[in-house]
Amino acid sequence: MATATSSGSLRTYLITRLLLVIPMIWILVTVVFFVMRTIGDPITAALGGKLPASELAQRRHAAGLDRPILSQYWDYLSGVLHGDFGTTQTDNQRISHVLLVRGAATLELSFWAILVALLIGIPLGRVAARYRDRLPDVGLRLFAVLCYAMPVFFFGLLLQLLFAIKLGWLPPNGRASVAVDLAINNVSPNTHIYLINAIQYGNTADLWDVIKHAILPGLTLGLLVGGIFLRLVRVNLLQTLRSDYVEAARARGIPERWVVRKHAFRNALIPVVTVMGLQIATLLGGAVLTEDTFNWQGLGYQLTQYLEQRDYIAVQGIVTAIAVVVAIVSFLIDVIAALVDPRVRY
Amino acid sequence: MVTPLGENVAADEGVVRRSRIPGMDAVRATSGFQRGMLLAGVVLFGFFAVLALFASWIAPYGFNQDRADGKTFVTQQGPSADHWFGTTVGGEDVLSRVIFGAQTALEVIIVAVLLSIIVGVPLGLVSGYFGGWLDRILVLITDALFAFPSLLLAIIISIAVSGGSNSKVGGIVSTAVAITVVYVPQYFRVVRNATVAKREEPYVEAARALGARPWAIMTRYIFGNVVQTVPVIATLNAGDAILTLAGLGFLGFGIEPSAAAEWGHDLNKAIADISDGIWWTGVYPGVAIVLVVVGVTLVGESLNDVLNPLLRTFKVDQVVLPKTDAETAS
Amino acid sequence: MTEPVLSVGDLRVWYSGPGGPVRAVDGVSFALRPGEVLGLVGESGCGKSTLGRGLMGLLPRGSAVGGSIQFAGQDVLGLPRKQREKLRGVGMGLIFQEPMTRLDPLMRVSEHFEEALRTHEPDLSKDERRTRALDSLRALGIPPTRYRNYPHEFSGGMRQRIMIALALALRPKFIVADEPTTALDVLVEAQILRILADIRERFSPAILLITHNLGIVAEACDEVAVMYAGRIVEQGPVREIFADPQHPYTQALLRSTISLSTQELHSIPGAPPDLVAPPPGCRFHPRCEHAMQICPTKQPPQFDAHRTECWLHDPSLSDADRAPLEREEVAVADEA
Repeated sequence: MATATSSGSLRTYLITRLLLVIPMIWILVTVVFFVMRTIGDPITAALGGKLPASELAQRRHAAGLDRPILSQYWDYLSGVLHGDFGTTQTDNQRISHVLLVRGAATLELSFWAILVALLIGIPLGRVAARYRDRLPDVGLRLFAVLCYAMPVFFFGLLLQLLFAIKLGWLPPNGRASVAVDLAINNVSPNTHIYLINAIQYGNTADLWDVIKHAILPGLTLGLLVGGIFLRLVRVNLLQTLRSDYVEAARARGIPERWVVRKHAFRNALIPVVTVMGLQIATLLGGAVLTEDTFNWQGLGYQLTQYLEQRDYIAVQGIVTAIAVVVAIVSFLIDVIAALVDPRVRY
Repeated sequence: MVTPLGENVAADEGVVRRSRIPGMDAVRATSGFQRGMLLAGVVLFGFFAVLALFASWIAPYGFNQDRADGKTFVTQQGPSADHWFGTTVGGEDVLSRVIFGAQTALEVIIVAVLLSIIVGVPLGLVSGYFGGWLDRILVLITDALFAFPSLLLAIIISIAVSGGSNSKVGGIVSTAVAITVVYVPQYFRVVRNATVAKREEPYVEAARALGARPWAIMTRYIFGNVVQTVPVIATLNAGDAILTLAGLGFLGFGIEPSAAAEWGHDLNKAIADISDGIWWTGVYPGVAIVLVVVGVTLVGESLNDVLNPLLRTFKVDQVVLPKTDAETAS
Repeated sequence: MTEPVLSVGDLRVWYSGPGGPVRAVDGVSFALRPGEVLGLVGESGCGKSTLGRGLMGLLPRGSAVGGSIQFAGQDVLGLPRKQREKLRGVGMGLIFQEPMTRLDPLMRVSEHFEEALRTHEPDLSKDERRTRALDSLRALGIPPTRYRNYPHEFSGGMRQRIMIALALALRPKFIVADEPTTALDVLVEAQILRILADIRERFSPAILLITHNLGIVAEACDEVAVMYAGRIVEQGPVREIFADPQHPYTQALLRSTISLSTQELHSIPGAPPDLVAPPPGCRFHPRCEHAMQICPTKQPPQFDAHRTECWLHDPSLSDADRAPLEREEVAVADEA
């Protein structure tokens, strides 16, 4: 392997990765645009038989949908670059505003989910590797398969059934109780992230209310990704425990505990960082379903509302935004992976 | 590639090819625990396959049926002798809906997986073998699609494809196509990477030197080796595809409810039921999904464990040293 | 005659294989004095590496060890696990064959040294540790400017030198060098050998040099032990053994060495022995051109100064025993 100064190659690597992200985003935006257009223009598709032709034509003209498709595409592309995703049909909101407000809710949900996933997946993966092929390992692997096999909305339903309806310990849906919801949203600045707002607001009871509402959705979405982490940590730890540098460390008389913790485990975590990039897509897909199950008014929830109302302009905008977010986040994760593993440089 | 559970799917290292059926070598090489997993998975999946194939004979009622012998069923009734799994809010028999749901799931998944293979594998072969700008573009596109949440992609494709068609066949085909588009990149990627690897092997170089044409090389040499991994991916994929189908159904996409029973759709309706403590409309379809996906995943993961030599476990017996002559003498 | 640093008596190391226990080391005895270098030679798969690993206690699951290992007066095999761990690194060091993957990719070279020194010599201060590490590296030709680099920034030869420096920094009394130059090219090999000679002068550890390369043995070792199928068939001072090999296997090995004066190629007929079910009696007899009637029946004891395990050197054999062994031609197919 050629030797290189650390900073030089890191910079090159990051620039190369950034340059790859841009075509990826462009491809996704283009695919979404043209796929949505195959059903004809959004307005006719949604309101086709329901409005008189003249009204339709008027609306189409107002939305610029009667121009040639390529100029529409160009406009859309340049809009996206400026952060303008258009305006929804049904409730006439700027999509960028929707993205901001609802996106914050999804961000909050994702935060809880990732927390759960890391706190559960990684330690359990370590236990599974330690007891390889014995009962704890078999049990944990089965658990991980279940986490994957159980649809997110089914698990959510079960949790609701048990903890909210039968036991009554936790609220079945929503981000906060109605009163708390109102109070929190009057905080300024309004980050739209309830946890932060509640802390700002200062009332402990309200804060607890917010947290209680987040537990079931966070657990649901978190276990989906947590099972993946469990399997990943287990497999990687088994590999690293057999690696040459671990054997060499043992030969130097480094105590076994230390060898496992410092050498085997740390190296086993590296792929976890990279796989986390892939799991963003899983997370967001799962978030859509989780939000629908728990009436968690995030981007996914909003998306399903628009889908039901056939507001295809809104749908297009949100899906495009999600694509961009996924691409950017996976780039950021690649950056972190490069910082953590000194070998990853082009 | 990294499977849904984070494993690495390796090429067929270390498994000596003895069978022409792709995947059979991996099956034969399983042992002990892995074979148990494999068996459990096959049994689970087989059970549902039987349900799906013989649904019309096994199910006590039609999936949409809300009356029999002139009497409408009581709605939202718990499990009883007449309705083992209870009835829905519309009075349909839950057991029948679960069984017909299996049929729907199987139909969609088989069509989707077959289509994905038919499109993805040759594309991967050609792209991997010839390389060049075609390869680079395809890789970029599939990487982009791969990074996108599969459910969302399935949704917009589903919108595009169905655009209003309501018949059962239309629903199944359009849903299958949506799922296909989502998973073609996986097959493409794995086959392409394997092809690129095999392309550099000495025996391929030798064939080229002897004047073999690209088509012959691809079909005779590379394809046979590369295709060994496809069954593993297909089974792992089938699980994911079933979940995506259920997700689509949950969100109201895919199959029109009057055209066929679908588990995801039933689960969506069940959410409203639970506040009344009605659990049977959701739990049964949900458990069905879990069991099918677990079955298929067990099959896939046990095969994958075998193919990945790092994970193969050889049972290790503790060696006991026999006494030496000197020791027995003393 | 100084006390031996290491003395091994009737050592057996069997590990678990798919076809049954593999008798990699099956009754081996030797001793090493301080400052002495013993070369252990043999074909691939004769058990040399396992012997090295067995001495260190780095065996895979399911292995069994029998016999005795005395190190600095202690009975190593009787020690509890923690004590055994303490011995590693500072009592017995191990230099591995393949250097590319032996360093933790996430840790700088400096961190490797810190870790090792902190484990075994906790009384050293940070500065003292640093000095020790840099001295060790400098002796191996690695400049201090590279102290904080990561492993992937070094070539194979340099990594091997870092490994050696790391092992030496702990000042072990005994070092097992398991084919340290096999994975390296000839020039680097020469460097490493020079370094080994240097180490001998400075620290005089006892070294067990495991190799299949007789040239290295000739150059770097005082004594040599020839291993075949888990047993040492001949051992003694290098000069003597090379000048006057007693065991047919040693003779065949020396004959098959290629040098400038080689006229034709010699190889040893037959295939390496199966360590799960080794040949009865003398294990070399299927491939030996001098095989006699007695050879397959009993394991030969050790004879003469070279401790040669060969019936040829038994003066008290009967004529019947001495008769040549009839053998079917080893068919080519049998070898496969």
